[in-house]
Amino acid sequence: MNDHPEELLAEYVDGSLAADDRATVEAHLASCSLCADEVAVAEQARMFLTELPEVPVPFGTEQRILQRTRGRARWESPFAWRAARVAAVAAAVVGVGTAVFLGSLRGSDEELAPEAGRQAAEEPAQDAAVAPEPSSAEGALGVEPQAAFPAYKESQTNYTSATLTTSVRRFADEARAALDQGFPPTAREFYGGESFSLLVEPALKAVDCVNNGVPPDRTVVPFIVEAASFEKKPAYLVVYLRGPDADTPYDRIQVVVVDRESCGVLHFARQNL
Amino acid sequence: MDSGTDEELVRRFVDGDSDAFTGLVERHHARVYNIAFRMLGGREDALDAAQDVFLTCLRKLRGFRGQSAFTTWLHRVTVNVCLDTIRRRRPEKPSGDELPEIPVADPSDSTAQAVDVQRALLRVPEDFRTVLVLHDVQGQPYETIAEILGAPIGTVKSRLHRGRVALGKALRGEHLGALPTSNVEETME
Repeated sequence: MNDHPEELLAEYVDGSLAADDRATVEAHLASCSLCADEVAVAEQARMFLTELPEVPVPFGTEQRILQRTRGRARWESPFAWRAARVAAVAAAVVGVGTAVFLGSLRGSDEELAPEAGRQAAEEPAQDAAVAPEPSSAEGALGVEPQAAFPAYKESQTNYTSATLTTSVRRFADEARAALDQGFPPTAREFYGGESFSLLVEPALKAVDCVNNGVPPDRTVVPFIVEAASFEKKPAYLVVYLRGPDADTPYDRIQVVVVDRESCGVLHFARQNL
Repeated sequence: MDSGTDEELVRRFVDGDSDAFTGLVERHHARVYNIAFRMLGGREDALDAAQDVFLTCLRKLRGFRGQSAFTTWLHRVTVNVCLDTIRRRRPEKPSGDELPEIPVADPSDSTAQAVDVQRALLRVPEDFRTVLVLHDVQGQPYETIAEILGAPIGTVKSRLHRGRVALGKALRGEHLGALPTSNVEETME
């Protein structure tokens, strides 16, 4: 016979026992040093566990899940995913490698039109820009598929503190141009719309590294993500667009460069828009 | 994005509305990630597990008969994915008493105490750890945990107490000794 009222001890520690059971446990604890010791340990453990904070979800977790489930759904489910475009973009990333631009603009951009994208895919060149293939769903909806931002790029560029001063001005010019051409003007519109869903691996991993465990701040929008070097160390560079809050148009860019291995910050710069 | 109860979203998904699944992911991915993080102890493992959970959901949702709440079912899938991950790892780490390799300064845990508690949690046998995570970290009631695990409520309470004792000993750096373990019943709907 088990003399120790084990099933009651959890509730006793929780403080949720009815009075008669509590009296039973307390009578037992008065005469059983083993259970009394265990209850003391359990009370401390419970306190530590209930104080554990909620862990921040890495940037892009939801996107990663949706990308994997959508890709699989095409094979395992009879349903046609309306956002098949994400899978098309992922295929473009796998297929090309050196440089891929992901995104959607409502305006036009000759250089990044689908024809140019296909040409680049056939003749992959350094820093080529590739547009996702238009899906049949987009055709049916009459949406013009166009590549732009958010952009992911792998380059041989070796940034330094000095060269970044110039680059930051160029990034700001690119941001202004993209905004003129229809890039979502506020963080709320970015995260609530299609542009965010076009941010796929490996860009998500890079942004997660740059965020380095900080909860995703949805007032900050990743605009350019680049795997390059900084002072000869492999680095991720992310250009963020930022406004005073999620509903106010961006008023500056922030450029964060981190070590690709440790995710430690190597450089930070900002520029008003 | 999607409004309605979980069960309404499930029904819409089964009827062919893929946006409804997106709604379920949006609503529940953070909790799934948090449970996986506490069960597995690392960001990458938790991310992989969260993806596996929703892939499993995708495959099995059509068989979801609504006998339990969707969240209960989702917790069951999450627990099973985490336990599978832990058991797949085991051959590489034969001693359950070894300190798991987790980064001391994992930014996901904001305090040194939280890191210590997480580290100790990973030393607790997984069937006890499951109940600790569901009850003490996630705040699930005994009855729901019993339903999630397909185990009698007395078993849940017993594992909770034994798990707390094991965690307390692990925090003190004591050997956990030969703690009894029992398997969680695989009770997918």
